[in-house]
Amino acid sequence: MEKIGLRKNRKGLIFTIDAILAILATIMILISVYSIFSNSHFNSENNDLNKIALDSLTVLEKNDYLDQSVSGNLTMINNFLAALPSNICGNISVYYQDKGIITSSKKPGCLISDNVVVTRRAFVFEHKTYFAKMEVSYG
Amino acid sequence: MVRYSYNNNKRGQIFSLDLIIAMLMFIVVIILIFQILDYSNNKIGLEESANDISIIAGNAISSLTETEGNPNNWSLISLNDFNESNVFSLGLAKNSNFNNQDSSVKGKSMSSNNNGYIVLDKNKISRLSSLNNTKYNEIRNILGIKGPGYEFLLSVKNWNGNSYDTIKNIGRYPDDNAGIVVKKNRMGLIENNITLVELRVWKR
Repeated sequence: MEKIGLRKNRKGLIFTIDAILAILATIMILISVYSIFSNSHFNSENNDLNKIALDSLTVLEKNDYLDQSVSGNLTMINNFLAALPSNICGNISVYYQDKGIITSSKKPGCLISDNVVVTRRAFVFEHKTYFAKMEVSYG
Repeated sequence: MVRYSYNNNKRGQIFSLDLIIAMLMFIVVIILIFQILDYSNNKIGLEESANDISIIAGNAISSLTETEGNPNNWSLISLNDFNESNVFSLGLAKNSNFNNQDSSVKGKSMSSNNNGYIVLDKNKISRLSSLNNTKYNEIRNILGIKGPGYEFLLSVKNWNGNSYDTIKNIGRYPDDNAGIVVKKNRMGLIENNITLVELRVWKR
C-alpha cells in the first residue's frame, strides 16, 4: 500500500518530444488541407466595381446629370442608378466644397454591402467646384 | 553461442493487430493524399483558367469602351483588308479629333465632351457586327482572346427607362460545352443614351 501511495504522488512526464512533433505535424497537415480547400482565388471584383463607378461618374458628367442634381433635379440620376447592372448597388452623393452633402441618391431596393468601392470626381457648375462621390458594391 | 542458436529456432509473431491497424491507417493516408493532390491539381487548373479569362476579358472590354482602336478609322477598312496586320486594336469609342470640336466644347475637359472615353460610336458597333460572320476569328484575335478554346460574346444594350434593349450581339453564345464563362460589364453612352456593354469570354 505504501508503495502504491508513493507512486500516486509522483508526477509523470505528459509531453514527450514525440507528442510535440506529432502535434506539429498534425497542425501542418490541417493547415495544408484547409489552404487547399479554401477559396484563395485571384479577386478582380473590386477592380471591376471600380471601373463601373468611374464609368458611372463619367456618364453622369457627360450627360450633365451632375449639374442637374446641383439644381435639385434628381430624376436623371435616379434613372441612371436604376440602369446599373442588376447585381450592383450604388449611391451617389454630391458635395459643395466643405459645406457637406447637397444631394444624395441610392438605387432603390438595394443595400450597399461592406465590400464597397468609392470613387470621386470633381466638376464645375456655374463657376463653382463640386464633388461627386459614387459608392458601389455587389448587392 | 548455444543459447543464441536456440533462440534462432524459436518462431516469432510476424503479424500483430497493431501492425494491421498501422498498415490500414497508412493505406488510408496514402489514398487520401492522392485524392487531395488530384483535387488540388484540378482546382488550381480551373482557377488559373478563370483568372486568365478574367484578365483577358477585362483588357478586351477596356479596349472596346475606352479607346477608338488602332487605327481609329478601322471601321472603314474593307472586308479583305480587315486582319491583324492592318488592325492592331479594336475600340468602339468615338474618335476624339480636337480640331473638329465645336468652339463651345474646346474650353471643356475631354471628360465633359461627347467624344472619346466610353462614348461609343454606333457606326463602329454596326461595322463590328457586320464583320462578325466572316471575320469572327480575326476580331477575337485582335481583342487578345487567344487562349485555347476561348470564345466571346459582346452585347451592347441601351437603357429605355425601365430595362435594357439589346442593340447588337457580336460573337458566339456560350454553348453546352462552355466550362468557364466570365462576364465583364461597362457603362457608356451612345448618343447620350445610357448604354451597358457586356463581354462574356468563355472556354470550351
